[in-house]
Amino acid sequence: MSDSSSASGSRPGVHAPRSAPARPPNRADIEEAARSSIRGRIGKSVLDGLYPVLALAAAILLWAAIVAAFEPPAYMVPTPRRVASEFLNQWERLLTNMATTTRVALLGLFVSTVLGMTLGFAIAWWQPLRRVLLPPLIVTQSIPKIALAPLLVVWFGYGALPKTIVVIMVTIYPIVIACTTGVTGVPQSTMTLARSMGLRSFALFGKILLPASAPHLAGAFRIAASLALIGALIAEYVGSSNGIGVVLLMAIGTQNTALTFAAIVLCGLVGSFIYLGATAVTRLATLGLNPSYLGSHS
Amino acid sequence: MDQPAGDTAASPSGTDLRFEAIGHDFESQHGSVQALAGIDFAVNAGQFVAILGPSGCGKSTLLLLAAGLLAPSEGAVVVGGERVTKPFTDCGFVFQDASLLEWRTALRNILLQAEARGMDRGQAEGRARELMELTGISGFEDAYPTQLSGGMRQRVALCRALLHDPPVLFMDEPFGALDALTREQMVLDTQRIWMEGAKTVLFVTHDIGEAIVLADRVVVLGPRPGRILEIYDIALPRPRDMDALAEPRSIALQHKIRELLRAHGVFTQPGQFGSCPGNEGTSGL
Ligand SMILES: Nc1ncnc2c1ncn2[C@@H]1O[C@H](COP(=O)(O)OP(=O)(O)O)[C@@H](O)[C@H]1O
Ligand SMILES: [Mg+2]
Repeated sequence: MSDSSSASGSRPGVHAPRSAPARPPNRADIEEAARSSIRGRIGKSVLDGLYPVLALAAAILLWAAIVAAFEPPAYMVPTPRRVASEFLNQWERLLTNMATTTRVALLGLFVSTVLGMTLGFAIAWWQPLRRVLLPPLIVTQSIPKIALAPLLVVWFGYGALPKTIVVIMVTIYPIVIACTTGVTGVPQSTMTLARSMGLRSFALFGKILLPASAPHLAGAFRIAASLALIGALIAEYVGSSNGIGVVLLMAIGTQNTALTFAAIVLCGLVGSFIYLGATAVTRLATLGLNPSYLGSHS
Repeated sequence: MDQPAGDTAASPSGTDLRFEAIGHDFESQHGSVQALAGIDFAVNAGQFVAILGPSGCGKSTLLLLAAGLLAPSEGAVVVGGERVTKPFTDCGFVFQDASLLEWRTALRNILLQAEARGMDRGQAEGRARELMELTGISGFEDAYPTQLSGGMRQRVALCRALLHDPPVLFMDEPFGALDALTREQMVLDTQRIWMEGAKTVLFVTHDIGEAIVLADRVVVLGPRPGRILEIYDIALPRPRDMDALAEPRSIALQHKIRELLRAHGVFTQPGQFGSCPGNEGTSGL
């Protein structure tokens, strides 16, 4: 590399002069951009955690102010203080039922993610399967889940199973679509390249199809996470022996508005934690990937 | 077939490649499209062959056939004396769009080749860094594709195609999306790298000058269905640069190729079809 000044005549094959390639002088910029984007992600996740807390505090203050100003009857809007004392009185009942509902939501979300990704990638990869499975999937997606829930209770009773099925039905669609979108978005030339390298089946999936779907999946998973608790509540409204949805129904039935509010606040808190947890899981699962690539899609 | 492996020594002179009476039709809902017909030519080991032709004449199809990624409707492809019947993976591919994986750094994009082939990781990384040095992109190992210019992306793609030291390199309009100056630099660098490695190269282009500066032979294809119009041997001394295009014999050759393409309806002047009177500057768009 140091002897390039000699004429190119002698052994052109070996000592061909190296023409200096045009190199944009932005190396430092690139490093800086990479660093600051990582820093930005950490800063952003702290804010992500802070915003819900701030919003909640603001909501409680507003709520207290409204009650103080308009003095509505207690069965319509209780004061935050009454709600807090109701929570302290019934914390065991609230927490055990919330735990039941949360378990259903998380189990449903988990099954939905595994099943949805399996289904989504199978559909994306195998044309005949797409033709057979996608239309019924779209049709069932259009049926309101609350219309199916009573039927599931008839079939599977009042336990966790029908509720989990409702959660799966509510959350699976975005995950399936994320996989098909990701796979069909891989350019033809990339697929040709992969085949020319001999990349097949699992390697092709792990190195190309899965990461290509990652931004879509990250978004879909967070949507699914925010829908999971809603699905569980719907199922409990329709028919269940326990769960926070059942507590809510009873509280409203007995005009215990303070307990209703306590349950709603608890649901909000748990929902936020599920969402934050889902975000953390997503970050963890996509740790090795280009952060700006993920950011540009989700 | 021999095992594609990273630890075998560089094959000094590539491998030879023969197209024997190739014809190819694509079946689609709208019926059958004849893409190639009567393609019959040979590429010697270590030769740089350009395939020149208008858009849609079947150039990309020809590369897919050569790589065994597509089975020809008629005829056979023979590589290194063996008939190609399945994907022939002992090759490197470079496409117009670079086809980099956005989520991987430049270095890890190059190393995809090693991962796919189960090459030794440490050795492959050393070679990848050498290739990045050779193509003038060292220092950008950790940059993501979106942070690279078009020329640099193509250089990464070239490094990836060369990582396993394949005897054959397929390049499909690799500089088609680059600006003129970057393209000129890429032509020079490609020639230099080829002179050092002497692989067999099949280089698809629709740029007459690019074909003449780079290739030992230029195969000119005519429009649909793609068939060989002429094969020219380019005897200009190497290393060549774009100034070689100003030499009288290469000017004559460029002219000849243009005439040939024109005779097959590739370049038409407004009004030459006779069907659109007043076409010059007055049509809608
Ligand atoms: N997968 C395919 N299915 C149907 N027709 C195709 C397919 N690939 C290419 N063709 C047709 O074959 C012809 C040659 O295509 P291609 O090899 O891509 O041309 P080029 O690379 O020279 O532009 C075109 O008419 C194109 O429409
Ligand atoms: Mg093409």
